[in-house]
Amino acid sequence: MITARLRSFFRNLTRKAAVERDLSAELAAHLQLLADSQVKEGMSEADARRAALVELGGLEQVKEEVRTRRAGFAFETFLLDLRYGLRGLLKNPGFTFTAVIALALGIGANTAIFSVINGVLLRSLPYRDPQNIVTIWERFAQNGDRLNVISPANLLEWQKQNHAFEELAAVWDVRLNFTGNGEPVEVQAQRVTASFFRVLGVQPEIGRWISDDEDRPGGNLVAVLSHELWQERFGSNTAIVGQQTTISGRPYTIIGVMPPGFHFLNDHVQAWTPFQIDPAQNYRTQGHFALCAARLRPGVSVQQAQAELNAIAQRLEREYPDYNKGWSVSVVPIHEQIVGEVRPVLLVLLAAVAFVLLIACANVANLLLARATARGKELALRAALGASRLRLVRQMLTESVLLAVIGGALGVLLASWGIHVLVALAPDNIPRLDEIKIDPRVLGFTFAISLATGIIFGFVPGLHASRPDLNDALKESARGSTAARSRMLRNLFVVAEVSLAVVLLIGGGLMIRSFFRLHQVKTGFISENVLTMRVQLPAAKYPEGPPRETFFRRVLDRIAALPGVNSLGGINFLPLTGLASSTSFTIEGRPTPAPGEAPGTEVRLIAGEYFRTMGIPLIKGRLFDGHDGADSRVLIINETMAHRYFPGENPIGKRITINWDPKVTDEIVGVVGDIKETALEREANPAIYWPHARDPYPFMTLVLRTAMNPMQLASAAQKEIRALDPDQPVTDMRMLQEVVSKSIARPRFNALLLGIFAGVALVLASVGLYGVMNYSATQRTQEIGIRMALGATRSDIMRLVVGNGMLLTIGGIAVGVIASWLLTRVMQSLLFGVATTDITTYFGVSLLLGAVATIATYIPARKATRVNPVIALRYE
Amino acid sequence: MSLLSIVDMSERTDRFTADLVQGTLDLLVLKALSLRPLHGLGVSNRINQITRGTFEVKPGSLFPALHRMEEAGWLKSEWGESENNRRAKFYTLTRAGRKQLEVEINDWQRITAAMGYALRAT
Repeated sequence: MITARLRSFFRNLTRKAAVERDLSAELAAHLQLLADSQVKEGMSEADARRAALVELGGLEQVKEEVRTRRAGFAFETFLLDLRYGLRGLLKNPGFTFTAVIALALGIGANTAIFSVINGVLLRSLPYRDPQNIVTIWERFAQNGDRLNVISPANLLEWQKQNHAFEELAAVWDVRLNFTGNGEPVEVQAQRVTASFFRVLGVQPEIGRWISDDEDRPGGNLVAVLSHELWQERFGSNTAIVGQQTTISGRPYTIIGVMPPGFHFLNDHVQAWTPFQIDPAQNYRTQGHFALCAARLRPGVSVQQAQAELNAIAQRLEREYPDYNKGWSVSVVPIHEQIVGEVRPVLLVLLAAVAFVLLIACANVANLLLARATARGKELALRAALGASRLRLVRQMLTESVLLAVIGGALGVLLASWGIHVLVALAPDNIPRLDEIKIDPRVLGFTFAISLATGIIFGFVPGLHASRPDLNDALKESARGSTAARSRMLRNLFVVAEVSLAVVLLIGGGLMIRSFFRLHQVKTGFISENVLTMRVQLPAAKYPEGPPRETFFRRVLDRIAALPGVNSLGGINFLPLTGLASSTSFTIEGRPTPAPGEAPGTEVRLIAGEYFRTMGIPLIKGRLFDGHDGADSRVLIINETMAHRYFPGENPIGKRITINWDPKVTDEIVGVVGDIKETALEREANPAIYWPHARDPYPFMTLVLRTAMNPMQLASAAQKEIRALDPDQPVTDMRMLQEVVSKSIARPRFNALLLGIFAGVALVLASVGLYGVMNYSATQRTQEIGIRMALGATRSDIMRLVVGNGMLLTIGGIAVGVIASWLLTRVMQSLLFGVATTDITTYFGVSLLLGAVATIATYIPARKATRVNPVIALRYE
Repeated sequence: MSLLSIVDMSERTDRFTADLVQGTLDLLVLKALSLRPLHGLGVSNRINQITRGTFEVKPGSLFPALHRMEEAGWLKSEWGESENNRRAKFYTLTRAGRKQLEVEINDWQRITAAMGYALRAT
């Protein structure tokens, strides 16, 4: 039956003429048969024909009845409406252009943001059964319970004691130097346990995973490469698998290449090597430094896994109080871990673009209303000829949906371009940026919102236009109740538009103000004219202790001798590069704190004239000098440390033991100014500085202050380093200003996007306001003419028109301010130093909109005052 | 569409006043065609005859119904010669049409039986 109807459907559509001919012939035959039977009963031929026609009841009516019953009738009507609508749109290019542009902007913005949300939040992660993968973190009560990296010692205990996980994997972010094939480069890498690839369940694109044997202490040195590194450094050579290459001074065998886009928590990682945890080693002498991924057993929930780890963690606290007191464990699903932080921003952005689209809808609805009034006569005529209300609404809806779909198609084009811009502008710490694209789901979304948009903005005008007051509309000029009703509606739309724009502007304004607050935060150092570069020595070539110290001292000496270098220093971790740590310490002469309650501090290792180069002021005491080497017993603290632990005392001369080496006690010789260590929005933590020689880390970020453009020094400095060791890569060469600016890239991006959307909203709303004021001024030409003829002055008319517009604007602003006050709360977590009820922003936005609205109403008002009363009175 | 507009009552005194059950026209057309192929007028006459003049189907209801049932695959049509040698389009029941007739007869009997019980109840 379905197939029969389908066949008929296509026959009716494609062979319409034949179908119609057949119907005519059938009815003609029927008439003939009827007439024949009448003749048989004795009627004359002519009378019989007439009687047959009467009997048939109207040839055309019967045909029409048959047609409405045909398969595909509804579709055919739709095509008819579509053709009619399209013709209407083409006849009104101005209207069509305005409406399509407004819709394309709205739908395009929605498509772009949705494609980001789709790529970042919705698409499942490129791992096998990602819903079963979790990350595990430790948390230290003393450290504000933030998620902390884990200790291999505890990982080994979890592995032994848990029943919730199929497997756990440890991951350690490291840097490796690739030498040999071409320029030496430093790449970010992860040392991973053999279980890592099984937990994530991703097959290498070439070669194999790290085996359990290779993951044992003393196992073979092997490396798995990222697709990108394989492409760039090894020219996509498949034969590379199985070959050896030198990594950080040791021979590694390349065993596999991962597929493009594979990474775990760190998008910059280019290689994976075995972790080689040694169960015989006591990791309780080391800190927390590893990431942890785990795969839940089927049927085990995150809560159950968390409960089990809680129990284990409590046992460990009792068993190893010195190491584990105060430490707890958190299980975070991997999806949450990756996108949890960006979700609020993306949802705020989605809300913002939804508002932009609503404003565009209101705009187009107003245009349609005005057009419907102009088309009032045509619609009334159709109604008078028997078109049902449903039929008219359907016609109007077909037109508005057509408009929306055209807008949507243009919107997709706009979005595909916008996405490139978005991704280019986005800070690289937004996860999964490479997964953003326009896929079928995005297209489906766009199509759905286009349809919804068409229905939303077409429905009210359609409903409104479909019940014309026939009498009124068919008269020469229509100025009856219909016109009044449509004016009410238009005013309502304008108020809605203005209030939506107010919400967006206030949201954007808050974001921008917050960003500027952040921008003005004092870093504690002077970032102008400072060049930074990072050098990491391979442990194999530079074993612990003196060789590293010597190398870095020689580097500092050589670069300091370069012309143009004013001062030069080095530090193990540059501020604002996202690393925070906490090392416990004890102060001599004070009671020993209970396990897990010792105060914590950052410990930084510095070399050369670090403080002078960074412009960090000395508050008290002295800085390190050339004599403070490996055997010295001195340290420098920051102001926060001095205030927190030595309130009202002179810290100089006090003695401190850092728990890295409990046997050594150091004397405080200086106090320096605070700097923002982890992020501009975070308060400074206590910090201790040690001379680099005391614990020569294999890596150092050099800082150079210069008089000239620092980038000019970059290659000269690099040459000096290469002169010492031609295999030594230098990375992260950039200005200190860039480091600071990058640290606030995300708030900048948020402010920029919300600002752009708010700007679009402002433009759309003022265009909408202008359109309505202009239209109503034109409509009232005759009234204005009468007023002027009766003696109203130009300023009276001006007051009348502008007053009307201002009333709408003020109404919109009032509604918008109240709505903002309620809605911007969701932005709380995205703001820094600005309350969501910030008076300045609210007031400023109200003023801005008021000013723009005044201009938008002033122009039509001026036009209205130019009216010549004589012409106006005749105006129809 | 109200069913009264599909099926016209004859001029007899015992005319129906209640709405007819949905599908009656389909049932009558299928039944009329169950003996042999007929053209439109033939179907209309046959219905008149087998309902003893109770139903007289007007062309405005008949042709839409015939076309709809043909599109549903219950009937098929072809041009042929009438008894007085006029060209006419003849409708034939298809296999699906026969099955449909059985279904509709069944339904109708269930309904009339049920109505019978209902009306006889005290």
